[in-house]
Amino acid sequence: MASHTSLLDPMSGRLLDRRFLVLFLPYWPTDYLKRRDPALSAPLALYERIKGGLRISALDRETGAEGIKRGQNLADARALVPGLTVMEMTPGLLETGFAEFADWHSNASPLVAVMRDAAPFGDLVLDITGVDHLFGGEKAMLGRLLTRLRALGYSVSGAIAPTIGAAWGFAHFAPNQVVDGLALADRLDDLPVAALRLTEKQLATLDQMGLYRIGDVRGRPRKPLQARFGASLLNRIDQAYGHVSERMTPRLPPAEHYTERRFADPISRMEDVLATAAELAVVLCQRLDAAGLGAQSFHLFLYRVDHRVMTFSVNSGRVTRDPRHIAALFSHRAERLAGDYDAGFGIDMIRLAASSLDALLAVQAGAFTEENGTADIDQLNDRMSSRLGTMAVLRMQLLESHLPERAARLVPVQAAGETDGPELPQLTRPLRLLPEPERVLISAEVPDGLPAAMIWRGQRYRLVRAAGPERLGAEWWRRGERLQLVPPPVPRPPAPGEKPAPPPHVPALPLHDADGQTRDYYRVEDETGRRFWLFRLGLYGGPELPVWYLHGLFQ
Amino acid sequence: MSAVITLPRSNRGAGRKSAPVPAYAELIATSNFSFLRGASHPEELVAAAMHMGMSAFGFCDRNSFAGAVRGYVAARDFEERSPDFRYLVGVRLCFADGTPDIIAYPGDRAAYGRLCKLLTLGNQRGEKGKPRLVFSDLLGAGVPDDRDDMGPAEDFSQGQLFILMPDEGDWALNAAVLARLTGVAPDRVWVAGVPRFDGEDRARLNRVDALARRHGARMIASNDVLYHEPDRRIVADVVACIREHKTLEDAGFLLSANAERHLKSPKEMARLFAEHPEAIAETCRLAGQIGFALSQLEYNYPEEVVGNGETAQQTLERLTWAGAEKRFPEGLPPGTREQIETELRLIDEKRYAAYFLTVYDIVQFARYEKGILCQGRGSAANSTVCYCLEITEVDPRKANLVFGRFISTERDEPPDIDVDFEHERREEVMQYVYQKYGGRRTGLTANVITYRSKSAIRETAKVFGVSDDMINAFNQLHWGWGSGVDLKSVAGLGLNPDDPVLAQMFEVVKVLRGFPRHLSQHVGGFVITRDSLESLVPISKSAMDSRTIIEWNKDDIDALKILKVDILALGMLTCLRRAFDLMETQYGHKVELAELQSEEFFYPERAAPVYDMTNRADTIGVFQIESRAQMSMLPRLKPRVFYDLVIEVAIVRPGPIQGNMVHPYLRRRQGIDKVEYPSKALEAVLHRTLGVPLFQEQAMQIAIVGAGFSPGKADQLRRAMAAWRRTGKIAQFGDEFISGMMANGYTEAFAKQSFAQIQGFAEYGFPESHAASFALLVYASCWLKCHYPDVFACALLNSQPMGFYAPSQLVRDAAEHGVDIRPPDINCSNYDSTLEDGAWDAKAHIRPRHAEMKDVIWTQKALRLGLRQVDGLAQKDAERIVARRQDGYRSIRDLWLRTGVPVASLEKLARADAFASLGLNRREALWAVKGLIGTYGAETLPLFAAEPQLETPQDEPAGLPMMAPGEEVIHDYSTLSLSLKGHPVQFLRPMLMARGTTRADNLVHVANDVVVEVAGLVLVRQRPGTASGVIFVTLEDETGVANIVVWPKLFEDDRLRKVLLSSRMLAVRGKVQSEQGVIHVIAQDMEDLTPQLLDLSHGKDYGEKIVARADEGKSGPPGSQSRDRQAIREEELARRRAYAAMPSGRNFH
Repeated sequence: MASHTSLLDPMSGRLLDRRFLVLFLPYWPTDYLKRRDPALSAPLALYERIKGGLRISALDRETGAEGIKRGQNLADARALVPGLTVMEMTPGLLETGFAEFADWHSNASPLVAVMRDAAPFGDLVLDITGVDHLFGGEKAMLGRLLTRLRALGYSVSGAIAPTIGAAWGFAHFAPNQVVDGLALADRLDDLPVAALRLTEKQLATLDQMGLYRIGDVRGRPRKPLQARFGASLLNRIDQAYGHVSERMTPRLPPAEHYTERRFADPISRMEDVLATAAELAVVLCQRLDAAGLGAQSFHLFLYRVDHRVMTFSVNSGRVTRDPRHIAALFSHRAERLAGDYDAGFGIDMIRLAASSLDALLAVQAGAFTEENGTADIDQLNDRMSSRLGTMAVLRMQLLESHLPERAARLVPVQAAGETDGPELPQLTRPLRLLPEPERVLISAEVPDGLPAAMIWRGQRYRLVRAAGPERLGAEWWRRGERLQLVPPPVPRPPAPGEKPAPPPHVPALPLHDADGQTRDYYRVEDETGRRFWLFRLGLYGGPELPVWYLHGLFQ
Repeated sequence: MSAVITLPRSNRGAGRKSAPVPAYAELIATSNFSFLRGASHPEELVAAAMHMGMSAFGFCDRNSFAGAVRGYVAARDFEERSPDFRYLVGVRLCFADGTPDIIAYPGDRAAYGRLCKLLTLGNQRGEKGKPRLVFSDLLGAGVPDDRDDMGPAEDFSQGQLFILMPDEGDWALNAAVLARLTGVAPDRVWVAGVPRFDGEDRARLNRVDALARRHGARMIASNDVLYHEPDRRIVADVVACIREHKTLEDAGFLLSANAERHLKSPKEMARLFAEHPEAIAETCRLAGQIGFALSQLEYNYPEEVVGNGETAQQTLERLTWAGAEKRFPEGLPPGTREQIETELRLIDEKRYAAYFLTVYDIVQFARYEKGILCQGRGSAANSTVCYCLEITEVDPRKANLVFGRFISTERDEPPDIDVDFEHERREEVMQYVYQKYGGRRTGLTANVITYRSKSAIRETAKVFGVSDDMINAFNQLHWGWGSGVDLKSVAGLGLNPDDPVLAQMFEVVKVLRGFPRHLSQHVGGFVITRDSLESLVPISKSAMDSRTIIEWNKDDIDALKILKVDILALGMLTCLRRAFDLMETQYGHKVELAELQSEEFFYPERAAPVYDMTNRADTIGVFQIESRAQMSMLPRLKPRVFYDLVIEVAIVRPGPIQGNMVHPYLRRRQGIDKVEYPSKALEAVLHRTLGVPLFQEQAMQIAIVGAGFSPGKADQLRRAMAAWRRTGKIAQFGDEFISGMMANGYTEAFAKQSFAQIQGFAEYGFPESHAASFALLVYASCWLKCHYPDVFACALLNSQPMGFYAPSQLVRDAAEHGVDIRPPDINCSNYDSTLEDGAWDAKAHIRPRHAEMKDVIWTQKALRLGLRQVDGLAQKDAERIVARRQDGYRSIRDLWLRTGVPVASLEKLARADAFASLGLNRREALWAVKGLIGTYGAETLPLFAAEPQLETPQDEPAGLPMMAPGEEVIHDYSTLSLSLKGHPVQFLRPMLMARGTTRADNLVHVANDVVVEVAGLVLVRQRPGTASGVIFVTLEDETGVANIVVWPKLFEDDRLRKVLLSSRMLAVRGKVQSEQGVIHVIAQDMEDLTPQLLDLSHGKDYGEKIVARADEGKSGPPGSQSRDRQAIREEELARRRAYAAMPSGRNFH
C-alpha cells in the first residue's frame, strides 16, 4: 500500500491536510520483556556484541536514571549499577514483538508504520487523518493512546502534527502536544536540530557550527547548507515543515508469500476458518510450487473487524508444500487452541502466509524411486507432534561422553535433525545397560587384576574369561566438588609492621576425590558363555575400599 | 625465570617400599612447552621423576627444545640429592604428512646439532608457532626447493636414537615407517608400548611387541606422559579445550577418559609391564646409549671484532688504555689504573674479551657512524673498562659502583651488558648486527609469554562456559601479578564464592597462571655465535621483520652460559637527543651526557639548583622520577648527590615497598633512626644504603655473606625472586636462610626480618647497576627541565607518546615555568613542535610556586606547538602543508588548492582552531572547510587549478554565533588534548567559590587534619598492587594538582565507587594530611561535577548566575514541564558530546 497523495492546502500551498500521530517508546524493549516476564525487575539492561565487546543496547528507565547509556560497556554498567539484571538482546524476538505491537495499533488507525530513523524499536507513526473523531478529537485520542500504553507498563510520549517529521520531533523533544498547521513553523523553529532525524555526523557538525535549533538552520541560505550537510538536511527540514511529502510504509502485509481472502460478511466459526485455511493452502502451495519453494512455517492471520489480528502458526518437520499436510497441521493446532480463539465481532479477512522458505524441487514420486517410508514417518512425526505437543514425541540421540549412562539422551523428534551424533570410539560395550548398576561381589587380584568370580543377586558365577580394565575417570566438571590442584599457599611471614594477610576463601564444597570416583570396566564371561559388563568404583589405596557393580549384559 | 617445583604428593601404589625398585626411565614426557598439550612445568616433571627414583628422565616436547633448559636447570638444582639421575633431552617429532610421532634422542653433540637444524627447517617452512616437518625431512630426502638457505640436504637421522609412537588406527603405516627407520638406523630404533587403560592394553602391548620384533627393533615401555601427577588431568582437559576452542560442555571426547597419563613410578610401570619385563629394561639400555647432555653445549663468541694479528684480549687492552686517556685527559685518577688492570685480568681469566669487544663495536657504530645516543647498563657495565670503552657514561667511581660484583668468579655467571638506544633508531643498530654477523649466526632471544592472571582467567572461564561479560567483570577485579586469585572478591560482583563452577575454575586458573602460552621475540637480546647458531638451538624467523629468533629465553641462555647483548630502545634517549640538538641549534650550547655528569661531580654548586628542583618534587616529565609515588618520595629523600638519584630510582619499586624498606631507609636518612649494621661483614654490603637493603644485588649478598649460601644456592634464590610469587617457592629457602644466619651469629629476629625483606623482592627488586645508568638520564633530564624548560618541553612533546604525563600537563608545566607557548597554526607550525624567537621575559611569567627558580631558568625562546598535536591529523598531510607554505597561506581555499590535503584533514585542523593566522575562528574555519567541495564542484579540485596564485581564492563569510570562552577550552581539549586559552575548571570557579572549594595551590596553607573540599579534572586513578586496595586519584584545577587518597572502605560504597569511577571532574571532601611538603587529601566524600563541567561546552556561562540560583534555594526552575524536559534532553546531548572530549583520566591497576 502506498501512501496517500495529499492535496495542496489552497491557503498556504502546503501539504497540510494529513495528520500524523507519533508514539515514542524510549524503553520499549525492556518494557516489553518485563511485560512478558513479570519476574524481570528493574534495573534491567539488554546487551549485544559489538566489535567483540559487550555493549548495552537497551535499558529501562531505572537503569537510565543511574546514568547508564546505550553503547556503554556492559561490565562498566554492572559495576555502576549494583543488582543490574542483564540479558542478551534477542533481535528476532523483539522484532516480532514490536511488529505485533505495531499491528495492534491498527485498532486506532489502519495505517501504522514503524519508524527506524533513530532506533529499531521505539517509534511508531499512525496516519490518523480522519479517524480522530472516533476518539472525540485529536487531543483525546492522543491522551487515550498514551494512557492505555502507560497502563500496560510502557514508557511513552507522543505528539500529533501535520507531518511525520514534525510529529516525530515533537514526540521526542516537546511531547504530548497537538500541533496544527498554523503553529507548526513557530513551534518547530524552537526545537533542537536533533528533532530533524539527522545523522550523528550532521548533528555533530551543526553543533560545532553553533547551530543548535532548527530555527537557526532554517533561515540560512540553502545552497551553502546543502554543500556542507548534504541534501538530506534540507529534505528533513522540508519534510518536517511540510514542503515535501513523506511516504510511510504501513506494516501489514508482512510476508512475501501469502494468499488472503476477504469476506463481505464477517465469519466467526472455527470450522469456517479452517475450511478457508485449507482453501488458501491450495492456492499458496500452487504459488510455492511455481517458485520451486517449500516452507517450514505457516501462519494464519485472522483480521477481526475490530482491528485486531489473531495469528496461528504451525511448523513442519521438513520443508513442505503439501496443502493437505498444512491443512491437517492447522486442524491439529486448532484442537489445542481451546479458549485462545476469540472471533470477537467477526473476521473479515484471513491471510495465510509461509515463512522459513527453502528450495524444494518437484520430484516424481513412484515409478522408479524407492519409497523407503521416511517421508511418511516424518509426516507422522509432524502430526503426532502438532497434536500431542513437541515434547511428547522423542527419540534417542548419541552424545560425546565417556560415561556409558551419559552417552545418549532423549530429544524432541522434530528437533533431532539428520545427524546421528558423534562417531563413537572403538570400544566394546553392551547395547543395553541395566537401569541402575547393581552391586556385586567379586574376587580379583588387587589393584587391578582380572575378576575371577562374581556373586550377583545371590548367585555365584565362575568367570573364565576377562578383559580390561577400561578406566573411566569422573566427569570432574559436572560433580560440583572442590578441586585442589595447588596446595594451599604457605602464608608469607608478615614483614615488620605489616598486617598478616587474611586466609584465602575456601568454598564450602566436598573435596573432589578423583580416585574414589574412577571406574574400571571389565568384560567377563562365565563358564556357560554368559557375558557381563562389570566395573569397580574406586581405586585401591584410597581411604575407602572400592566397590563392584554390574552395569550391563552382552547379548 | 624458573617455575615452582612442588614435590608430588604420595603416588598411589608407590607407598610400599618392600620390593627393590626396578630400573626404569620414562623417556616420553611432554611438558607445557608443548603449548596447550602438556599440563606440567618441565621442573615439575623432573622433580617428580627424581623423587620416584628413576634412573633417567627423557624430556621431549613437540618439535621444540623450548622447555629443555628449564628441565636441565631443575635437574642441576637437585643434583646433590640424586647424583646418578640423568636428564636427557630429546624431541617429539610430529609430522604434517600423517607419519606417526617419532621421538628422537641425540646420541652425541653432533646429532643434537642436526636435530636443531631439522627443527629450524620445520620452523622456517611452517607458520609461526606451527613448525611443518614431513617424514622425508628426517631422512635427509627433503625437496631441495624447500630448503632455500639450508644448504644441501642433510641426513638428520644420523646419530639419533628413535622411538616410534605407533598410530593405533593404521598398523600398516606403522610397519612401513618402522621399516624405513630400521633401514637408516639399525639398532637405534624402539617402538613405544603404552598402556592406555581402554580395556585393550594386553592386546596392544602384544601387538607392539610383535611389530617391533618383526623389524628387528624392541618394544620400550613408556606412559606417554602429559603431566606429573594424576590431578593435572583436569588441567590437561582444560588446555585441550582452550586449544580447540571448546567448552567443557561441548568438548565431548576431546576430554580424557581417565587420568592415567601421569608420570608413573618405576614400580608401577614394572607392574603394568609384568608380561614384558624386557620393555622396562630397554628404557635403561636406550638411556645408556645417549652421550649427550646440555652441559656439553659450548659457546663461542665471534671474533670479527679482534684487531689484526692480536688476540681478543690484546685488542681489548689496547682499546681500553686508549679510551682511558680520552676519558681522563688530565691523567688517570689514583686507583683507576689498578682498577682497570684488575678488571682486565678478570676478563682475561674468564675469556670474556670478545664479548666486551662485540658490545664496543656496536656502540662505536651507533655513536660515531650514526650519531645515535646510547648508554650501557647491567652488571658488567659497572666496570671502568666499559666506561673507558665508552659503553657506559657513568663514571663507576662517582656512582659508588663496586666492580667486584660484575662477574663473580665463583658464580661463573656470564656478564651482562644492556645497551639502550634512542627508541626511534634502534632498528638501524639491529640491522647493523644482522649485516655484520649474518642471519645464521645471529638470533634474538625468545620471550616466553606466560599466562598471567587475566589471560588465565579469560581462557579458563571460556572453557567453563562463563559468559563474556562475566569474564570482563572478573578481570576488572584487579588481580595483579603478585596477588593471588581469591574467590572472596567475586562476592563483590554479586556472585556466590561457593559456586562450584567458579571454585573449580579458579582452582584451574591457579595452575594455569605461569604456564607458557607461546614464544615471542625478546625486545633486543641478541645471541651472536662464531659458527652456526642453528646447530646450537633451533631458530625460527619472524614473518614481519624477518628476524631470526632462537627458542630459548634469557634465563635459559644464562643457565647455559651463553652470552648475549641486549640492544634496547629507550624513549628518554630520543627525547634527550632532540633536546641536545635544540640546545645546539637554538642556544649554541653543546651538551653531552658525560659532560653533565662531570659537571655534577666537579662543580656541585652548579648542580645545586637541579637538586633543589627535585627536592620540591618539581619533576613533571623527567625520566623515572616523575610518577606520583616518586614525586611524593622526593621531598622526603631530598637528593643532593648523584648516588641519591640512584637510590631514588630503585626505592620506589614494589620490591622495597613490599619489603617495608622504604620507611626504615628514610628514617635513617633523616637521622631519626641510628644507622647501624648487624655485623662488620654486612656493613660492607649495606653501608651505601645505610644498612637497609634496597637493591637486588644486596639481597643476594646478604644470602651469601650473612646466611652462608653457596653462590649456586644464592642463584636459585635470585631466580625464585625474579619469578613471580607462586606457592611457597621462596619460602622453601626460608628455613635454610634463617638457620644459616643464626649459625653465623645473627639473632633469629634479625634473620627473619632479613628474609621477609628479601621476599619483598619477589615483587621485583631493582638492580643497582641499572639504577645507576638510569640515574644519569634522570640527572640529564632534570638539568634540561631546570634550566631550559622550553627545550625540554619541546623535545618531550616531539617524543610522545612516552612517560607518565599527557601533553596538556607537560605544556602547562612548561608555561608555569615561564615558557611562552603558542598554539598550532597552519602558517606557523611545523609537524613537530619548534622553538621560536621573540619570547617574552620568562622570569616575569614564572608562577609564584616556582619563584625560586627565577635565576636558574635560562629560557629565551617561545614554544610553538606542532601540527602533530592536532588529534588524528596524518603526518604526511601536516608535512605537505609545511612544505608548500612558502610565505604563508592566505585562505583555506588557497591552502587546499596548493596542498591538495584531504578535506577531512582540513576539518581536523579547523576543529583544532589552527587557522587563527587567517583571522578565522574555529567555527568560521570549519564552515569554510565544509564548503570546499560541495559548493563549487569538481572544477575547483587542485587538479584543475593549474595557476592557483593568479587570484587568491577567498573564503566566504559564515556569520556563525561566537563560542563562549569555556566552550572554546572544551573544544581545544577535544582536538588538541590541551588548551592554551584556559583551564576548564577556571570557568567553574565562581561556582566552586560558592561551594567553598579550596584551590589546589592553597592546600599548602591548610593545616593538617582540616577538612576541605578540592575539585578538578580527574587526571589519574591509580590502584597499585602494592597498596592493598588504596586508590590514588590526581585532580587538576587551574592552579595545580591535588593528590587524593581513597581508602578501600570508601570504595565499597556503591554511590562513591560510581562517582569515583565515572567522573571526569570530581569534588572531594576530606582531611588534609601533609608530610614534609607532600600533601594528600584523605577522601571522605565525593561528588561528580562532570555535568557542571560539561555545561560549559554548550556555551553556558557558569558565572554569577549559577551562584545566584544556588542561593535561591528550593524554588523550582521556571517554565512548563515539557519545556523543562526539553532542556534536560538538550543538556544530555551536550553532555554526551562533551563527555567524549574530556580526558577520561588514566586508570592504572
